[in-house]
Amino acid sequence: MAFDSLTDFWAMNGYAAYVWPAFIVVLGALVAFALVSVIEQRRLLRHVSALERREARRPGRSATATVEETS
Amino acid sequence: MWPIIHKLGSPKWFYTMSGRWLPFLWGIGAILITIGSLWGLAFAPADYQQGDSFRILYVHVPAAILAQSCFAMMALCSVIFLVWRIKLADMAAGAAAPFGAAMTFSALFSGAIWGVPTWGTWWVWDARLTSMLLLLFIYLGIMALRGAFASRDGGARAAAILTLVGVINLPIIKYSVVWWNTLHQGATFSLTEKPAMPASMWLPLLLMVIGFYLIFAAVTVARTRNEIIRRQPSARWVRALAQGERNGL
Repeated sequence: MAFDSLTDFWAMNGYAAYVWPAFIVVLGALVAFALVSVIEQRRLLRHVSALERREARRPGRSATATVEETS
Repeated sequence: MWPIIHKLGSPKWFYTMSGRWLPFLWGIGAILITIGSLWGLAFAPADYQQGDSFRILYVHVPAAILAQSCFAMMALCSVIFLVWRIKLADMAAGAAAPFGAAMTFSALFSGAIWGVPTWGTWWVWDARLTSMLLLLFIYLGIMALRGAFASRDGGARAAAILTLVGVINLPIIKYSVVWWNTLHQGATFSLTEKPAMPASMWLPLLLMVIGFYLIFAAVTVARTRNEIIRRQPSARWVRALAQGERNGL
């Protein structure tokens, strides 16, 4: 380790106020994109299922609507 | 040639194939970034001039590289969409844009923070910083333009054309530190020269850059898959997919 103690590591030898925010914002952006895209996929597939169920109740009407239009 | 392009452009084929790769892109990307971060933050030696503030490099440089690579990828997709009318290319370009904007912002933000202890200022209107700010505005412009059209195809074409115009900015960013006097230092990595840093400093950076590329690929693929479902929720194979998901959960 490049630091003498864990306290020095958290303090980044005086640069904590610069190093940690930079890491949190940049890595946080990656995590946010990962979470949002996975949650979005689940939401979309639920929508498709709901669309199908609605059509099953009203036979004869074939839906060409997209998810945006029905949500 | 044509059957291959047709197959690659098929949303169903893309959805099936990418589903197999996606877990590896997420997993290996996350592992590389975790190792790279720990290594860069705790184990790489401090810089002899900048002390521990130099560790910002490990997020700043990958973000800046991805900001530009993402734009290059969008430009390639725009050409494929405009020339061969392959909708999947347009979906991929649209899926990548917000990530590129986020990486551009990340590079600007981490650079501004880094500038305070090292340059004594968080912003200067020099060529590198200004051309990166311009890149952020171009990303935001592309995203806004896509949504501003009543027809999806009109928005897609306008976004593709603006992307191709914006490509001019990429060489300006790259050579800005060479063409103009600037506070910003030159390239950290080069394909042709040996790094100016010791291996204990550049190896974690290399892991971070590869990790960021993998996460970029994963985000773009995942968002493209979402767009496929959004555009054709009535397709039979999408229905089957939703049903499988419901039974699986």
